[in-house]
Amino acid sequence: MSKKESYKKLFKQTFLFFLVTVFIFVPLVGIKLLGWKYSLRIPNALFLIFGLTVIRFMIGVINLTPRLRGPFRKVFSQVSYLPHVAPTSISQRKKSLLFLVIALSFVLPFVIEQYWLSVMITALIYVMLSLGLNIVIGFAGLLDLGYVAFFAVGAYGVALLHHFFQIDFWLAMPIAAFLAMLVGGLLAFPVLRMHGDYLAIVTLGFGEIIRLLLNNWTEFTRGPNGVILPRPYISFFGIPFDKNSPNSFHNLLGIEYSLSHKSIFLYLCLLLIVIAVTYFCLRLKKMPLGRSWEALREDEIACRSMGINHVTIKLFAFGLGAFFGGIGGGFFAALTEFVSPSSFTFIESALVVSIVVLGGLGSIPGVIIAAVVMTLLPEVLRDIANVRVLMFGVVMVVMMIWRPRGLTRVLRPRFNKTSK
Amino acid sequence: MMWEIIQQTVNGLALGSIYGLIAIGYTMVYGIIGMINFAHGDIYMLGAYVTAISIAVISSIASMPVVLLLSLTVLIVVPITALHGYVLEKIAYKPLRHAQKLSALITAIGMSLFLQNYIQISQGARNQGIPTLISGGFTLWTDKISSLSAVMSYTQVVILVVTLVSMLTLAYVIKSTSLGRQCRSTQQDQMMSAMLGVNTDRVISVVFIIGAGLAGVGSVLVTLNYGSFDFFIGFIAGIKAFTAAVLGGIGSVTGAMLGGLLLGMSESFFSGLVNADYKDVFAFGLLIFFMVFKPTGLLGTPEVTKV
Amino acid sequence: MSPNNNNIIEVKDLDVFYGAIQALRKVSLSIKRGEIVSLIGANGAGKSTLLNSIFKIPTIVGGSIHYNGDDITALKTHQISRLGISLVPEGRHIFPRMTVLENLLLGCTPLGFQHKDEDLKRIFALFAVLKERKDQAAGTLSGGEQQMLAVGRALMSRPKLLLLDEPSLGLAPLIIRDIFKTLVSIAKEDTTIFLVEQNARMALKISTRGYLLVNGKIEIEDSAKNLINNPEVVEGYMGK
Ligand SMILES: Nc1ncnc2c1ncn2[C@@H]1O[C@H](COP(=O)(O)OP(=O)(O)OP(=O)(O)O)[C@@H](O)[C@H]1O
Ligand SMILES: [Mg+2]
Repeated sequence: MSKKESYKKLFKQTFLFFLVTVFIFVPLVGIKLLGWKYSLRIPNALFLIFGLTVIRFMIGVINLTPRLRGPFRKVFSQVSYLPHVAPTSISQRKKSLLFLVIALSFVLPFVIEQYWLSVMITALIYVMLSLGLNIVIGFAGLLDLGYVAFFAVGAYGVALLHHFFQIDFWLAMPIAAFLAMLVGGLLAFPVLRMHGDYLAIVTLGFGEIIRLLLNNWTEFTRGPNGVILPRPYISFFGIPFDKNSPNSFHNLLGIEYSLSHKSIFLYLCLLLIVIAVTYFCLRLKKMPLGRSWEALREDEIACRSMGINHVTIKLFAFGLGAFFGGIGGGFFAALTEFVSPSSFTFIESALVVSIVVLGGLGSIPGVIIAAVVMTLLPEVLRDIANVRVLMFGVVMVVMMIWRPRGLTRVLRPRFNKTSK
Repeated sequence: MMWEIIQQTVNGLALGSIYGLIAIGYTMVYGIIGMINFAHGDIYMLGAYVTAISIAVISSIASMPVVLLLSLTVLIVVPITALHGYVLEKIAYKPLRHAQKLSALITAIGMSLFLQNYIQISQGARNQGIPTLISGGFTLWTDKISSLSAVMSYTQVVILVVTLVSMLTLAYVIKSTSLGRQCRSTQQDQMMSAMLGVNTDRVISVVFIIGAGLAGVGSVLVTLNYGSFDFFIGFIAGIKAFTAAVLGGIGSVTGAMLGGLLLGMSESFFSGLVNADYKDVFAFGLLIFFMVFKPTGLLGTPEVTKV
Repeated sequence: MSPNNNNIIEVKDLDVFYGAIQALRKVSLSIKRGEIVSLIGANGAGKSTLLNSIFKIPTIVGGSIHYNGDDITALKTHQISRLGISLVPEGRHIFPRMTVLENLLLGCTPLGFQHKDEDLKRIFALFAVLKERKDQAAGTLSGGEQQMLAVGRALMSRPKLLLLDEPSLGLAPLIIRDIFKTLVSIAKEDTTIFLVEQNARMALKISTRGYLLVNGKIEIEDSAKNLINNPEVVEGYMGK
């Protein structure tokens, strides 16, 4: 095709593209409903229409210009697989970097203010959740869209154990986590024979059922009003963080009362647990169970015909994932000192899924970084807070098309080739 | 008691027709590319907004009889939802046609989140609504003792008629036109269809367009019936319609319609006779039950999986 | 590279890979208008791959395909049949949940429906049984009837070039003879035929020329007469 012809074609395509954007953005962006009336926002629509049309045109031009096409393609080309052999040991530099990060995260709570402390705790909770879901999706390849259910069971478990039996957090949290694991195992049974999108839908339905039960079973869960925990709820292994009680934490230590003691303590406990879980997950990947999951993920049929018991390993995946979700939920209850069904919607599941996806489906450092970034970003950039979910959506689409294996490279432990 | 049974049947039929209309989109897309179009429910949600917007705009320009107003609304809403379906396929599904299923599914969920938030930003988070356009109805049955009566509202009549017309049109297109044959052949054997000269990419686009268009019809009808909506309605409606598609046997268009009616009826009886609070739990429970014990649904052809 | 205008199809240096496995290695062949050409070879030699690559089913890595002198290497699958090429693929690939008539009508897709009645009449004259079964689901036909349907469907688009992949597979000798007779009569009506057959003797009998494919490479190209008498071919591919 000659240059002139291809430009003609580009103009035609751009014009069609323009028409499509007009019909998409004029009704839904250019007009805003106000009660039974409406107001016009035509400039917004025009901005989107012309912005996108110009971008479309530029991409066309780049594609038609050989000099620009090469580097452009390089950046945007799909990477379907990354042939990569994992190093047998972590390099010294990486080790010291890791040490630095861990040390910093221990110091962090003492230097930041209360608000950021609770943001950091939230981030750690998301790390916890993402590590849990990473086992189910990243390791075993089972798309679980009802993960929020386990989060909810953990949170409600802690809250209700206190509400009905006044059980302390440090006893209630493990119980709730085991409860979540039990529920995870329960869910695993009906979905044992499923995979792919059927599994996704069933888990999604399951998550919604849990939320609806929390919402409607008012006698047990107090319904949409939620369960309020006493403040401060968490204690230093039995010693309260109360301001006024004589044998509370600050009095025993003889220091000034501060609201942040409680949060610092919560943060440090969670940090320790997260580090332990991370270590566990890293080990898990190299253990036989981790390898069976990988086999399951890559090819279920082959996996089953090789004699791997897919029932047990699926149960393990769901159970472990749920357990970590439950721990996360417990800490969530301790942080907010209040739980209600509105914290456990599908969006929450989707958010954790998108973190795992962004982190690179199976890569533990990737997932941790993604979880921290995704929680901190909306806080740092206040302006984008209200497009948070939009951003997650875009990230999920773009990632799957552009880098289906995540931003970081998946380091897969391999058997060392023995030379013969 | 009799009036209640009749009333719930009428409500169930109206509700079920709408589930059926949305379910068609799931079932056709699944039939042809083997993927759940997660964002389909959100196309329906978006249709509800376009419905309210076009009713507001049209009635601000000129006052006209309700029939004309509604026909114009349908003529605006359906092409716009259909266009969204087309664009959705181009952006989120076409690049992933040969990718892993997990990737495509995640993309679809991403698309669904995107659409919800897009509407939330552009139209605001609060509930929206339209004024009642059609009021009144037929009395079908009056109980002699309690003098309670079963009523079929005119809106419900409109729902049933419009659904029937849409379904008959679709049935005709699929059964007797060349395009319909191409859809079916692509569903059965994509490679062979392409070798016979069927432009399968175009057929897939058409399927998305038809599904989204029918979801648009559904949005007009629902908005007419309930009057209010928000940016989140697509989620629950989507799962319910998907349940309908599964009930009827995913991949089967007749099945989707029957599944819709079945789900609508059982949901309406459940909420009328057992407990209205748990009607969604009931619907999702039904979904899981069918997925686990009868994944082929009532009319579906068994899926052959090689193990 | 100047494509010969007598050739209806000309394949040059075709390389096809399935993943890392090379299925075709620099395959070149050409077929003149009006010929019947056979392609023979052992199982897994790449015969089906060659036919399918004319329809772009596997990705073509190297080489070119010309049809009537035009380069068609870059066209998409669905555009090929519009040029007047039809394929009866290995394993028939009829649409089982559609009726016989609908299957046949799908064969009209490249051509449009102007001549559909005429063409249906022609096909029903060739295969009378299809007329009796025209409203039956194609999946319920017997194997031989399905093969007839596959051939009939391919003929609905009035192909100038007909590619057949083992049309005799699994059929009774009597039916095979019928189908081969039909092929000869089709060839007389200005249709070029490229035939892949396990049944080499039978195929070569009705052919003008033949190719022998071994491990993805063309080993021998010769007239059908010579091939029938070639000891290598007789021993390797004709039994007895
Ligand atoms: N879709 C595919 N993916 C991977 N390898 C394939 C595929 N199709 C064919 N092959 C391989 O390519 C080679 C050639 O296959 P092809 O089907 O063309 O053989 P053939 O000559 O038609 O054999 P037969 O006489 O058995 O039909 C074989 O080794 C086969 O295993
Ligand atoms: Mg073959």
